[in-house]
Amino acid sequence: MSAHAGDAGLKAAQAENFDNLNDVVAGSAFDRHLRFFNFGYRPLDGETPSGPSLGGAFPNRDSAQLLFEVVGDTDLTGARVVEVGCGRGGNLWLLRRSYEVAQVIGVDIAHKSVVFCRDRMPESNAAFIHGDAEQVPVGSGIADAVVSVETSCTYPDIESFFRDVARILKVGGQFLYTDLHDVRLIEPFVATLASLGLELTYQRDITANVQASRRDRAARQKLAFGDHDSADAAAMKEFVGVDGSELFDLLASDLSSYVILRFTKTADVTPPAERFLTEHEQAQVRSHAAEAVRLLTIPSASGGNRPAS
Amino acid sequence: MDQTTFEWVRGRFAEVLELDPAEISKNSRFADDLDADSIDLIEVVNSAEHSLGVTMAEEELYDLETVGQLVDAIDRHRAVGE
Ligand SMILES: C[S@@+](CC[C@H](N)C(=O)[O-])C[C@H]1O[C@@H](n2cnc3c(N)ncnc32)[C@H](O)[C@@H]1O
Repeated sequence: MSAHAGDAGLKAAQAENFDNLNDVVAGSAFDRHLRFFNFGYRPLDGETPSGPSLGGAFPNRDSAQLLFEVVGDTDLTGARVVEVGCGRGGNLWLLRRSYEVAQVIGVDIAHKSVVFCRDRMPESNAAFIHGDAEQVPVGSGIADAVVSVETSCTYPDIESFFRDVARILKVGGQFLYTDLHDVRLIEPFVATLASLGLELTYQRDITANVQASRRDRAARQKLAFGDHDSADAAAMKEFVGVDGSELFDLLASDLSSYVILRFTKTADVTPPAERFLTEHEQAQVRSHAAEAVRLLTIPSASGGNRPAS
Repeated sequence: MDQTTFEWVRGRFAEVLELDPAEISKNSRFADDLDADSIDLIEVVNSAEHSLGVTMAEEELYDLETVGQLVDAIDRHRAVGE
């Protein structure tokens, strides 16, 4: 048994949360420019950043840099790329803009994000699907690359997601993956993916870069989410991860680490019914996911969760 | 470059960035010279859209580096009478 009684509820809460966030942003002057929901990456002193160089006032610059670091020197020319948990489509938009990908498919559990993406990227070689990362609604062996940026840490049953990544990739395809993980789980995740035919080709801890992005940008980004009363402002402070928030502390602690992982699919594996992750590891995944959803929850823009004023 | 557009853009940037307009020239680079970020730039562009009656695609903003380039972009829209 892998699915769990609480899983559906946790995923529904996460979908609702990101739908709410879309409503909040829709009310701000920054709506059409806000294409990313992630913490971003800031190159440290002396570091040569990956990817094309961007102007100093490029919107969502740190988020763009995060994607460039995740892609690294992977050749995506002519690729069909699937992003799972694509949010407002910034990563796929950038892949189309700066890499010569042939087709992009985004999947997200938050319906309003999918609608935003369809509206912003109406091109015929871009498609957006409302769906769950633990059961990705695309065919097997169709992707040259699967991208996953700061989304898997809220999946209660992450192994189902890993199994699906292996399923949808072609042999020779790339899994380009970054997230904030419980440090105890990174090795079991890599081992699980290896058992599914995905060989680790690159691993880098980028916690310091993500922290630098938060330290520098979070307070400013809060502005882009529009005006809020004080109850919402506290939640939003948490959501964007400003210095002093619980999320910022989590980034700074030894318990979690933000890592980039890249894998190449070397073989088609028919996965066994039995899970690769142990019961204990699955329990850790669930509690990490529940904690992340709790920290990320913001009140609804319509005022549903706000205290009466 | 249209001088009135430039004056307008300079005035808005001065307000948003709390700078003396004299510190802002056509060659000023947003990030390096003015310490402006994308949120500042978008604020100025949004008010240009309201006050000058132009509509700019997001993509147009992404490669702008200087005040002069922004003025030129706005002028292109004003010229076609949007
Ligand atoms: C922090 S955002 C990252 C979005 C995007 N990858 C980016 O970098 O801007 C997390 C995204 O994952 C999506 N998500 C969360 N759980 C999901 C699930 N089970 N299936 C699909 N998407 C999910 C959320 O709706 C949200 O858009």
